[in-house]
Amino acid sequence: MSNDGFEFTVHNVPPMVLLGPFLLAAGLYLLLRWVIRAPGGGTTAVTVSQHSLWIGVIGWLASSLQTVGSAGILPAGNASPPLASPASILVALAWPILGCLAVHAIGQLSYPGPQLPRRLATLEVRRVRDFLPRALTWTVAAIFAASALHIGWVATLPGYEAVPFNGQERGPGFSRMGGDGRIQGSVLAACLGAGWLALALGTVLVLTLISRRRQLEALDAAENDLLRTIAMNRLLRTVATIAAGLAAVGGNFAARPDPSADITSWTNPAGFASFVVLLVMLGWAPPKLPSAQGGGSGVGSSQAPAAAHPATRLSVSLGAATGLAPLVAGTLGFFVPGLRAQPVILVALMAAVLLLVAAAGELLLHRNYGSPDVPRTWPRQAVSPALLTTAIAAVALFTAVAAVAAAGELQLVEAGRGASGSWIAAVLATVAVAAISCLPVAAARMRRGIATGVAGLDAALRAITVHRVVRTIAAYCVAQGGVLLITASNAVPPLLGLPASSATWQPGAVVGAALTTAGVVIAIIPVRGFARVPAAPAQSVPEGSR
Amino acid sequence: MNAGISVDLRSATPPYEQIRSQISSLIATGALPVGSRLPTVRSLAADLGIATGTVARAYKELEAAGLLESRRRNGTVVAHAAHGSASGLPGGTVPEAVTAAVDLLVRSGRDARLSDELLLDLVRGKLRKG
Repeated sequence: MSNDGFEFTVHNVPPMVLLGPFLLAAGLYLLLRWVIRAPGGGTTAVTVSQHSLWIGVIGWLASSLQTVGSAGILPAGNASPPLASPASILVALAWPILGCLAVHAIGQLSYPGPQLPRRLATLEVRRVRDFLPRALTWTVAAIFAASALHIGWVATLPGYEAVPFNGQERGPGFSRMGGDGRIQGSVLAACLGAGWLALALGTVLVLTLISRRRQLEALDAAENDLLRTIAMNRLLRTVATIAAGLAAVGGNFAARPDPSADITSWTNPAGFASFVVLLVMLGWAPPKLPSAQGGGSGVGSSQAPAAAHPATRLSVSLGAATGLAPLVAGTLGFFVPGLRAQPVILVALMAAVLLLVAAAGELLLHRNYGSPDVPRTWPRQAVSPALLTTAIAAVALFTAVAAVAAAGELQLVEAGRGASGSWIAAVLATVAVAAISCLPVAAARMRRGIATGVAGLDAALRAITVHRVVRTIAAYCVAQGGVLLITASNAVPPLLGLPASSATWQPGAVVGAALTTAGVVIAIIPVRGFARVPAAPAQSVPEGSR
Repeated sequence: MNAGISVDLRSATPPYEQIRSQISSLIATGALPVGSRLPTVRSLAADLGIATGTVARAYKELEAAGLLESRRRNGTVVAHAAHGSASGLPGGTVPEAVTAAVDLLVRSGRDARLSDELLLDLVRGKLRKG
């Protein structure tokens, strides 16, 4: 019948292609609604500010072009599947471009409506240009223009066939011949151009959405306008890095030499320029909401002595260090041969470094500010119930994923198929991380008391460290579960009665990616995010009893 | 222009009437000059957290009174003041003395903790007598 072709197409669409993005969007919406909700209901300037920050961070995380880095390259070996067809390149580009734009759009749509019986509104027509940060806008426009020119130049480049690697005797030595090829430049440029166009149009649409989103009750008219500028700043900075990234992908393609020309070295200037854009955009901070500044520091004016104490400052700076250390460890580990192929070890390395930084912070507090004459005080509730529940759920989740991966891989081995064995590495790494997590907790319990003159500060500093440790464990277990689900995704189908395959099982990979993202999100929740209840009074414990 | 309106959901006056009367008042006092654009129905409804039909009804009544006019390209704009309003006055706005008297009335009413409804009833009663 005439409908056969249509039915065939519809039946062959994997359900997760549509369901996956929808679930991610729904999860993000719920998360952002949770973030913006103040403890007593409604919204405050602080929660609005946190909500805006979360949109920026998640949008930035979603914008990575890592998977498209070698688009258009025809590998000489069979090490990795090539990203060489227009369909595969466009799909790979769609995730970061549409994902980033979707995050910012969902962020604007997740603002709650007014709740008070008396509603206020201004009768002004909000236009995009009224809120755009001028200098940043012109900079981003220049980056987009340069990216477009570079992509246009890529369209003129010829393609090369890949030459398989082989050794050849040359003079006294032995040289290696061959190298990667590349597709026609016009094909890659068409894909990158489509991505560029979608990014530019999407940016304009999201900017319009930002300018038209509803006024927030928690802010006055001027701060509502400022929040729009902040949102535009974060969107523009992110799309600028994506536009520069598209040029870098084209640059990687353009820099590849003809494998038959026997040129072994090449550089990608566009990649360097993209890195510079990334650094500039990282440093281009948005303005801050004045009303969120007063109540948003976590330390009110009545607690100023606590905030001013050097031990508090050290603890606060450790928060920044615990954010940076895993990134550095992850980046360095990525370049260590062997570690890249074992992402479960890489995740464990990042968590371990973070825990060691927390332990080092407690040792510094002990050494610099601890006094043997001051009794140790321990918080009555070191970890908030919400965080504790999250951590327990995360451990249970990881255990379940590890058990599923182990059972599935055993079935694969029995069926005579290859298995990654990554669940063994994940379990061993988790045991190691759990052992390392004892260090900061022990340091927090054992260090000397600090003479602060502020009641409860010593206990609060210990609680912060314990909070960071539990948060890290929770984030690690969720992220590790996700990574394990990706690396051992082919172990799941046999358990569900589906035919075994050595290829990646897409639904498992999508759920794994969602879990990994959730782990990252848990890791970046600020200390105040989980502990939105006032700290319980500290209890004094005689020296040596703990 | 930075004119604002408010809607009190507890008030006995329907929200569309609150919107209509406030915009009408802003036009009469010159806070919304002729030609100035108003937000779209959807945008104003989202800001106020009420149904779009409520704002649409207020706009429709203001259009019927000749205070607003819908233009295809510019959206809804303030039209020339309608019959019975300040059209015959220099500049098309209410004299400053009247505005000052209204301000004084509102301030005195607030000081005396009178509700908006009661103040409006007082004014209406005086107008009927006069």
